[in-house]
Amino acid sequence: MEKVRISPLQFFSLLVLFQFGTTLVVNLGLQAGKDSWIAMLIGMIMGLLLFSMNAFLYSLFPDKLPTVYYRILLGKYLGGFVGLSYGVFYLHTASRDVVDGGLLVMASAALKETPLLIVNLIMVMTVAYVLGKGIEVLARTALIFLAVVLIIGGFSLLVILFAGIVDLQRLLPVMGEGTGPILKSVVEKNIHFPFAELIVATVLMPALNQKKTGIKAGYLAILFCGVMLAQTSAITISVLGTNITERSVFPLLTMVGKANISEFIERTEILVVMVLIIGVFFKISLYYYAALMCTSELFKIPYKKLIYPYAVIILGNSMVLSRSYSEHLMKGSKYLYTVLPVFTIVIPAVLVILVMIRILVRRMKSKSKSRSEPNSNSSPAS
Amino acid sequence: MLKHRWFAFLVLGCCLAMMTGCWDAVELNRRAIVSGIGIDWMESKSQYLISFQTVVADEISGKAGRGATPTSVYQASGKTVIEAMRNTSRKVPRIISLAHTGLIVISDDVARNGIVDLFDYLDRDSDIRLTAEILVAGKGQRAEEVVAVLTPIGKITAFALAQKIDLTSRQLSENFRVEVDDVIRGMLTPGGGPIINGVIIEGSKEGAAKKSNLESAKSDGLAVISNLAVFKGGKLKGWMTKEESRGTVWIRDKMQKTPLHIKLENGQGEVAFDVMRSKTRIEAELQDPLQPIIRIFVEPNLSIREVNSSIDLRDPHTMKILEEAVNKEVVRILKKAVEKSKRLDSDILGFSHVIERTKPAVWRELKDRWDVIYPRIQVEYQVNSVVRNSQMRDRSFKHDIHIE
Amino acid sequence: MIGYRSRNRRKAPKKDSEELELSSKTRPSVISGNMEEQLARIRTESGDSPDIVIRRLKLGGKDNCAIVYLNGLSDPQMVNHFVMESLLHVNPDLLNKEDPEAMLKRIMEDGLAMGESRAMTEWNDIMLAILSGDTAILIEGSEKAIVAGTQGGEWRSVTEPTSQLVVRGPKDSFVESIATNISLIRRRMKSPDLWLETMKIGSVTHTHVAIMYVKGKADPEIVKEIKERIHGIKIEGILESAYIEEFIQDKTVTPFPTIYNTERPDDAAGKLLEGRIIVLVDGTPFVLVLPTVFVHFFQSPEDYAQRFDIAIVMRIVRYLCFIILILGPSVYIALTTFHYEMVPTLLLISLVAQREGVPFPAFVEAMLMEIVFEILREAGVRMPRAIGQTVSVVGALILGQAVVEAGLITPAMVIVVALTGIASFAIPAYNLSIAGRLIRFGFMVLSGMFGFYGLTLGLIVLVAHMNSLRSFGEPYLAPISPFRYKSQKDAVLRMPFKTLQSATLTASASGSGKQGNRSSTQQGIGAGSGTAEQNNGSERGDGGSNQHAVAPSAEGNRNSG
Repeated sequence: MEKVRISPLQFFSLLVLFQFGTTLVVNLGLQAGKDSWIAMLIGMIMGLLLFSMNAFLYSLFPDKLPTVYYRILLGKYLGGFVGLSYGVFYLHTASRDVVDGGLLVMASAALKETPLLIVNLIMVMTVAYVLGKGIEVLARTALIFLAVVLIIGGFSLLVILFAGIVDLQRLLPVMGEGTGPILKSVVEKNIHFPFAELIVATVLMPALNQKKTGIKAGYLAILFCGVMLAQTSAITISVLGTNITERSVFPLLTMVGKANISEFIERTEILVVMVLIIGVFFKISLYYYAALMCTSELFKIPYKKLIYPYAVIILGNSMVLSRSYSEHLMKGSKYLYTVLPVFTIVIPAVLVILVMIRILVRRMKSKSKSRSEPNSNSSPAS
Repeated sequence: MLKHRWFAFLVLGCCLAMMTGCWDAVELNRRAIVSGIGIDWMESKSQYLISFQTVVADEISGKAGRGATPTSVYQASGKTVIEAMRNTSRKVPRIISLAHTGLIVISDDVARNGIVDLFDYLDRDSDIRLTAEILVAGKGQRAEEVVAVLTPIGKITAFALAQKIDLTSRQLSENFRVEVDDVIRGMLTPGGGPIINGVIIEGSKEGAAKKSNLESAKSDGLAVISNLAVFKGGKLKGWMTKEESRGTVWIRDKMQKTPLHIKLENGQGEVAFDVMRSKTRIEAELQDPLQPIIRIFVEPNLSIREVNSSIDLRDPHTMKILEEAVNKEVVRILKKAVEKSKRLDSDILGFSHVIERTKPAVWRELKDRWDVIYPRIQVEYQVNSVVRNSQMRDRSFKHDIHIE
Repeated sequence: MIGYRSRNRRKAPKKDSEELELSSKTRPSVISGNMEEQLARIRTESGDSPDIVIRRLKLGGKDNCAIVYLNGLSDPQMVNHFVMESLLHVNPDLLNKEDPEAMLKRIMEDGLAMGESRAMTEWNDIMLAILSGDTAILIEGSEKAIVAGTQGGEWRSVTEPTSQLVVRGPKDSFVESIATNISLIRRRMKSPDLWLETMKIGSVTHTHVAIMYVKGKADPEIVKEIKERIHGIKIEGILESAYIEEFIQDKTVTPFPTIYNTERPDDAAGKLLEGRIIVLVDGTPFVLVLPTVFVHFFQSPEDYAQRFDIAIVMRIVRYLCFIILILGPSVYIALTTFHYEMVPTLLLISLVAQREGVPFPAFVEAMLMEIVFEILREAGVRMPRAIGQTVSVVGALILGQAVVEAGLITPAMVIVVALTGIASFAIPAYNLSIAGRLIRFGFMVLSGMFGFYGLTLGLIVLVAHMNSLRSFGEPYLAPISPFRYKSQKDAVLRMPFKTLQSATLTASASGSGKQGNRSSTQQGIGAGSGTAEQNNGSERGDGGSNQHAVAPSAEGNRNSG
């Protein structure tokens, strides 16, 4: 474990950019239609709950990587296996995000003829370079780019508002189809994407320099992102209408392309593309880093030695993942509610229950002990 | 270790630089910038005829001008838009670049045959913006003729036409900007369709495309924005008149400024108003789900611009009378628009959205029968106009002269 | 300077080899009582250099004394008036003629009207003192010599700075003399907390290097680290502070300067007040400031002379210039060759019109123009001032116009290149603008290949790289990332003075006992001879504790003494 320290503010910016990452880019269909912003907010609340599980585990095992406490809680072999599968999971998700990023770049009128391999290659190389500098550098870089993203976001928002293309009536009626589609969307999509994905935060948490403030920053990051994503979704729909939004591969891009102020400030999409690239970059970086940390801790290999081998794996995997964008998206949305919840919801929940049982057992034991030895005071867990 | 890594990066970088060359880099002088597109239908081949109005950049700015026309039109035909576009590569030495297309003109017959597949291309293409303006060439006119017109003010006709739409929608409000996504949303309106601005060539079509058009003080031909074209689904149903257009704009709450002309009762003369701003609100009353009532509330603010009457404008009572008269006139205009849309059975005014917004549940029931219900729908109007000012004078001098 | 060879190899041979053996291997490290022998040795070792002046004197009638000094480096006034004259006027009766040691003591105590004088025994020290401009007084029979501080000679006088100009603000600048430079700073900060430590670096040049800091504000750890790094330098000569800079900077491959330099005393004093440490090097007017953060390069002393709101705007303009400098041409390339849809239509049409008939792709065009620009600038910088003007006129006006008229380069590209050129001049720090110019080429390549995608990734790499830099433990982008709210008042912005508390950088104000071994030697000795008892090249490693709080000039000492 490298001795780095991440400040709460840096943790916040990492998580915010991570969540913006592909969520702003990818369109997984609007199950909730006009109300997808409500679904996003509900998803955020669920995300807060999920995060509280991770935070609880962290409070019991501060300074320990998740792979370490899996082994403590689940035993050497099962725990090791779970840790390893997390590593694989992170690695796979990282390559999925590389594909997302690559396709975004290809489609957003920037690089149509450049081979996807090259586009992905330079992305992975950039990530590998930055990770080679250490997570602290990544975190501090995140802080600066959060500022960049917020400035661009604010600017685009102003342009959109002043361009007079927002028609809030397109958001009405609120919940016209009832709550059914919203809940379905929450369960199938909004919890997992992006909020449950914050399971990667567990890998970062041991590096926090202020434990309590750090966790607060985590909650704040989720709140902030939830609100921003809901707002973005609402604005996109109110500019484009549900139908076009739903059919767009990159709705945000199309939406910003509509903004036009007196023939001068127009076509600001490229700024949005920059935001999207930045977000995708941080998303890949965090997954990549999580994968590195999991395996390096398990096999006791210094993680810097793994960076380049992993880069090759991610790149290779991203090339064979899917043949087309629609296949990629379809697999993605399946992945979201089949594989992902195992790692983001089931395992943490099992762990939390295990810990609870342990604490209870200990308390019982210590009670029975305290009758005989009144002086001993046991600390919970660990 | 560190050195090795740097070396590896360097080698990789060099390889990249050599391999990539520049796949996507296209120099500006390899592009033909398209400003406007005209889409016609060729009956003989049953193909689209696409005309690209391309900008001849050095005629517009730069010293190398040869005194030629600022735009030139390239045409090619194809079963689909993309096919036609690729076919132009035999004629144009440069890559047809559509990102700056400001205007897309569709001919009347294409519009009558249906524009759905056309708009899929416009919607899908990553080069064409959703902000491109759509026009329909008036009856008997061809889109290729419109894009071939040369305009004395504003060298590039397509942009000049787009500016004309902007201007007229602000000054006259019988048109409003209709962009690609507006059309698509219109086509998706149940039982409705888009409304698109029309364009016609006044004067000689041949003369309008010649350079001499730029050289005479009185142009031979001029591309002019005309009234709205009404679609149902993807097909052109008919054209509105001037007043119907104005009513439609009013109901769609796009009214900015428009002149109104009122003939006073008892032969007291005439007064011309200018609507300065106006606010429209539509509500639906759904007591009886099968008999929805639509209420249109309009609140125009007016200014008196011309008085050909001796009435006393200082008198608040006179103002009341004038406002009453305006209310009636506005209702008449609104009614015309509603009647037209009923006659064409196309919900261009967006009443279905109003009902959906008010009671989604009721709308789900009505949805399937909307086509039948719409022509019989009951519409109520409530206009509450306010005369804000009378410019620099109150009474007309006519008040003080005695013409006997 | 005169070469002073054969010093590193020798390690204190025995004292008994007193014969006139001139073989360098067996030379004694201390002086003997034999004056003639010593004088001969001086002559031999310096290659009988004509500028070494040896003047024999008769004190008390005997031919028993000699003074040695270097013509040109010592102040002739001082030598004549205070050394020679006072020696000649020593009352012969007072001199104990029998005991040379007692005589030497007598001369030091009563005879010399000098602030700075001391007895020395080490041969190397004496030689070094002579070569630094001091005057050595040798007395027959004594195993000590008196070294009188007569350093002087010709220096450039304090003039207006040439590299960091301000409209309003102090107009003095550092010069090549370290003593003058120290005095310039001392004059601005009359505080006993301003501490000075000196050392000599360079096995041949023996250049004085001094570090100054405000005790209690500077982080003692950093002070210690700097001293260790400076002592670790192994080099023959230090001719500029850049030599030191290159040796002591944190080892990273980077185009960015991680050590700030200034030739303005007010700037240096300001940095001292922030708790930073400055390194002065004899022979150069450029003073190093450590630890350095990125924002330093955008601060000009002018900022503190203007209203704060205006200063903020000026700083923002500088940051903008830096962005234009590194991204200007690459954004142009990306826009015209990849993202033509981004350019406003009318501008695009005019660009297309300009490009008609231009033979090069935009990327090549930009590269060519940037290289031409670099050539022009390099030519202009090295030229004498009068010709430099001509170069810029020929370059900027004639070449630029001809190139456009010949249709080789588009006017827009000339505008972009000129803009980046001007932007590079708007950055107060020259070394940062060089770094920016270098990076610019990298970005041009990236955007030439990948458009804005390459540009964005390049920016990420750039920021990550800058984040990974450290200057003496201080993160390079310090007050911004990691974000320190308290330091924001004078980082990117410049808040009004009321809110500017004395911002220490990392250390708490507690001075910590690190400098406990600092002796109470507030001796009044000039910087030059004050270091005479410093260790020389071969023994440098163990001598970190030889510190002096030195008053800058002889005058001050005379007053106090």
